Amino acid sequence: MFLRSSTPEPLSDEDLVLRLKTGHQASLAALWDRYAHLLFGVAMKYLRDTERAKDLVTEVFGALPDLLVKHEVRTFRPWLHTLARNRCLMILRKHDPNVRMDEHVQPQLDDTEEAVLREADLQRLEAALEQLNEGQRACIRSFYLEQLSYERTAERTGFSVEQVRSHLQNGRRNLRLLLQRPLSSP
Amino acid sequence: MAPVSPFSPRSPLPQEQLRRYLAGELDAAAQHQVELHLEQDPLLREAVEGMRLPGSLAAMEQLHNTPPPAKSMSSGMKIGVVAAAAVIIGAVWWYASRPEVGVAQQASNASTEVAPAVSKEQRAAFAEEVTRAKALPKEMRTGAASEEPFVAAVHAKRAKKLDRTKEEVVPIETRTTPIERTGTDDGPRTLDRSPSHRQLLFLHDLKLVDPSELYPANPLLSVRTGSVEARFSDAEARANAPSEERTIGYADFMNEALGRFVAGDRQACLEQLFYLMDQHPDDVNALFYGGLCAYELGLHQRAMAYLERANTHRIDTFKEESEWYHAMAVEKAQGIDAARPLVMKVAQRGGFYAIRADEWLSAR
Repeated sequence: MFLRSSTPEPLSDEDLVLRLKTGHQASLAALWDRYAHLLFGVAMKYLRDTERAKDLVTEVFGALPDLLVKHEVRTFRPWLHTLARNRCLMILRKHDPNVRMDEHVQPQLDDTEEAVLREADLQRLEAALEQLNEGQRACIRSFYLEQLSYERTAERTGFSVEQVRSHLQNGRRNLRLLLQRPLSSP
Repeated sequence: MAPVSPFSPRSPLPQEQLRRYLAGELDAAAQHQVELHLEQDPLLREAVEGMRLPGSLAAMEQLHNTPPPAKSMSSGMKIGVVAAAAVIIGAVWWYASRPEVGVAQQASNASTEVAPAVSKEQRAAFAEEVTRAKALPKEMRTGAASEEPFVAAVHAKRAKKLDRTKEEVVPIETRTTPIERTGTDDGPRTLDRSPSHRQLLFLHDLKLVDPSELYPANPLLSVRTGSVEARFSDAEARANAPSEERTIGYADFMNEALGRFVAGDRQACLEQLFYLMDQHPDDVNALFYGGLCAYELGLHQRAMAYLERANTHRIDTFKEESEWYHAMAVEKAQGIDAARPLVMKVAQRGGFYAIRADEWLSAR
């Protein structure tokens, strides 16, 4: 088939992991295509060296088949993220023993927060927005409801991009808490 | 369709889109879509922090073009592999040093020689042929309109196949790669990569073999400008006229040609691809899409010739499609009986066109 739009739906990460565990090497190539550049970015953030970052990505993927057999992995993406980050921290610890390992697997936003926000009706959303502080409200409105970029949101609100991202994170969390309250609650 | 939430990205984030975001090439609306992903994905967020560091984008590109590592080996396995490699290298050296191998190699080279470029007479004949072409009816043409009814059936069949855990999964060749423009053209090279690792390029959502698979350096192609075409009253005069030419890179050339294809202008597309084949007769992309255009224009002999070459090309990226459309061109040119064994071969192969082949055989 020569039309790209007609290619089959890609397998999920978890399907690929299952196949990799049974020795299907082509699944490793598919995971590489999805994640090598992301792991590289994470490694660059910690190691600040392109060659060391590339080596780390190669090392992680080389060990992946064995690690997946040894560990019970429910959601591959956050597990891989933590694995890569810990490998980086291990490298850094060789130079600075005070560097601490990160055992926490960060959940994706989608698990709770995004689901609540996605399903909220407009009226409740507006009511909840009014209860946020000014910075969070302005950033949430500009970024999510008016679909502006970080930069445009920053220009409009007068905040820096870092402040915008902080307001978005805190604002989302507060919105979720407000939206999850029963309707009769104050 | 469920309304799109402003809190969710509309679609998955392609790697190329991420690269363009980091390079500052996206407009504000597209930036926002990428940033929706950043807001909900801690891995992506941390990765982007690292990707913004100097040298990251170039290193990422190198990584992208590197195959994944093989499974880590034990030292015992490594010794075994080295020993086996030594035996193989020794055997190859012994075989190559035999005097009769040189002759065999020459014969082999002769059989893979590229077809000669077209003559002036052939160009004139082509121009005449295209001018008089009678296009196939719409329902018989290639492309999305005719392919889509079969897509759901193929997906269902593949999904059923993938349920069996031991079944081999067909690799998905969807990787794109930017084109390096070096400006030299030394002709095609011999390739030894397997089809599952062929680099592809998609233009207008149409599959192409990346020129890096066909040429040692991205070729600059001569393109006739449209003003030449308009000045002349007939095909012969046009073919004999000195051409006003400009040169452009391969991807830009194909982008123009395939833009004409998707716009429905098969004649203009074929003319442009014919011009490409004049310069590179063995270009598999031109052979395949030229074959499709010729088929749709009712130029069945030409379609058969191009599609047969695309089908048997050393790069087999278009093998499945070429085999099917070659069979269809044979049907048009020589009749059902001549096409039947070719269609049976497609049906037995079991690929994307097997369903269509089965339907064709049932109906005849």
